[in-house]
Amino acid sequence: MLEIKHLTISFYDSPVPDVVLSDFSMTMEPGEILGIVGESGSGKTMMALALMGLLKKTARIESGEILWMGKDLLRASEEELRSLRGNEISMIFQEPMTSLNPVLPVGMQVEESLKIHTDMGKEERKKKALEMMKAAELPNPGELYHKYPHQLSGGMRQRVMIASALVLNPRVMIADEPTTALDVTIQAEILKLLQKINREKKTAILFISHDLGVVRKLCDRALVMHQGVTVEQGNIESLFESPKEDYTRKLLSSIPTRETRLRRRKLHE
Amino acid sequence: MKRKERNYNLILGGCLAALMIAFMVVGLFYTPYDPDAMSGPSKFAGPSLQHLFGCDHFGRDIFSRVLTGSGTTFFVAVSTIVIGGGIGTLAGAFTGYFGGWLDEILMRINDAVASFPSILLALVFISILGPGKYNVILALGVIFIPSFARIVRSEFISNKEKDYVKSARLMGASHVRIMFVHILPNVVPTLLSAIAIGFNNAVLAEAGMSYLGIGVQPPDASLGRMLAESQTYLSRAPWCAVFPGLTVILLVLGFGLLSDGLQKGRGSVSCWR
Repeated sequence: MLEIKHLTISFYDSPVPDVVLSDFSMTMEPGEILGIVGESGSGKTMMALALMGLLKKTARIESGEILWMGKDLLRASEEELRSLRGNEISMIFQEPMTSLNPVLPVGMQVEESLKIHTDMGKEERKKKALEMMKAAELPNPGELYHKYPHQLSGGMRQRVMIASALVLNPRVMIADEPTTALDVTIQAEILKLLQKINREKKTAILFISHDLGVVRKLCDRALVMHQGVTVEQGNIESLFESPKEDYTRKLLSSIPTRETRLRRRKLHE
Repeated sequence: MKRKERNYNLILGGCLAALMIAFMVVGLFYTPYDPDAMSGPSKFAGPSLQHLFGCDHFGRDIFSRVLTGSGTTFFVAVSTIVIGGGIGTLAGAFTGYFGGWLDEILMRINDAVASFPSILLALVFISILGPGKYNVILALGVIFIPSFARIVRSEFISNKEKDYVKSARLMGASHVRIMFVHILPNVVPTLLSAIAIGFNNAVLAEAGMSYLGIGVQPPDASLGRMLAESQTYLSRAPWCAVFPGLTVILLVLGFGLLSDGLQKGRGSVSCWR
């Protein structure tokens, strides 16, 4: 469904171009959850933005292609890309605090994609939005519909973001560190929600995270990135059980376990 | 987000502004006397129950003239804001959002307009177009564009980098939609206080131009004209000058406080931004 081939992106803000992604390739099948793991600055987000066609002006795509249903998105017009965004591919990101418009009511923001991509009437849109908010497990959608983002907690805002990203039932949702800004219990709930959506709506999820534990729980397949280069990719089990590359092994050993916690405690004493 | 301190500026300014607006609106429909009717016997009559604010050198009722005069002033000020604020907001939105060469060109034109003293620029306009109510509106409107454009532009520049704009783009919203549906509502609080200040400046500019005789032309009543006419009789009939002057002061004070209060009120908006 989605295929990225030999994608290389450089930034031209400094005199010496900065390669943020080099020779990156991946494929994604309908309905799967693919994890992209890497430390910050490894090019995960840049890859996602390139996919959406929303790179900064200073970024340049040096080579490669992004094939969506066999069509190269890098050669698509702005118009074509716009009809894809929010409709076929949608994206949510890290900061639910700032990614909602502070002065528009929540319901209106969930409906936004419907307003842009369909010619549904007002009532129909509202019905669909409420349905979606319910699917995102928001309590009391009817009441929330008229509320403003500052009246909601972080977890609820992320659910609103998810509802607005999924309202048109896209084939792929890119989730760029969706749980990083949330506390652990809410994090678990959001992950469960993503899993449920994947199962029920067959939405493929491209899950970008630096949290290996989360990726292991959620994803079918994962891809490890380091400084713009794909280090290793494969089935989640084999990746975690028998990593082939040194970097993957190092990354895995950074996950705190019971032993590391004990070791740290000893150090403090 | 508890705010114990009450926003007195907003309350007082709002009341005063509302009062003055009510005053002007009444003036559009009803005046106790015909504002242009002269009467010999009541020439220079002092304030009384019959003539609340007294009468001027033609025996015209000052209360009626203040009512219609402030109506004229209000009309000129509002039209000025509509022209200046409307074009300024559009220009600021486009330049701030897109940036680049369009921004450079429009903002340099803006600087050029803003670098003239406004009264001088107004004089230039009037000397080309000729005096009169509508030409004053046009001149003031053009003069007011730069200040609005600059305020809106800076707001757009700071807003366009925010995440909610990014998420709107991710939903496939077009640039125009992002500008006017997503960003503009965030600019409204700033724009409102700019409108209140702009309204004040427009009132003062209109009064000033009419005082100089290049604004509203007789027989139309205007606060500025009334002040100019009455200065000859200032010691003999001070009420001719006091009441129009007082009206201007209250009007400007009301909207000044209102704008101040709106700016303070923005604190509560920005804390959840």
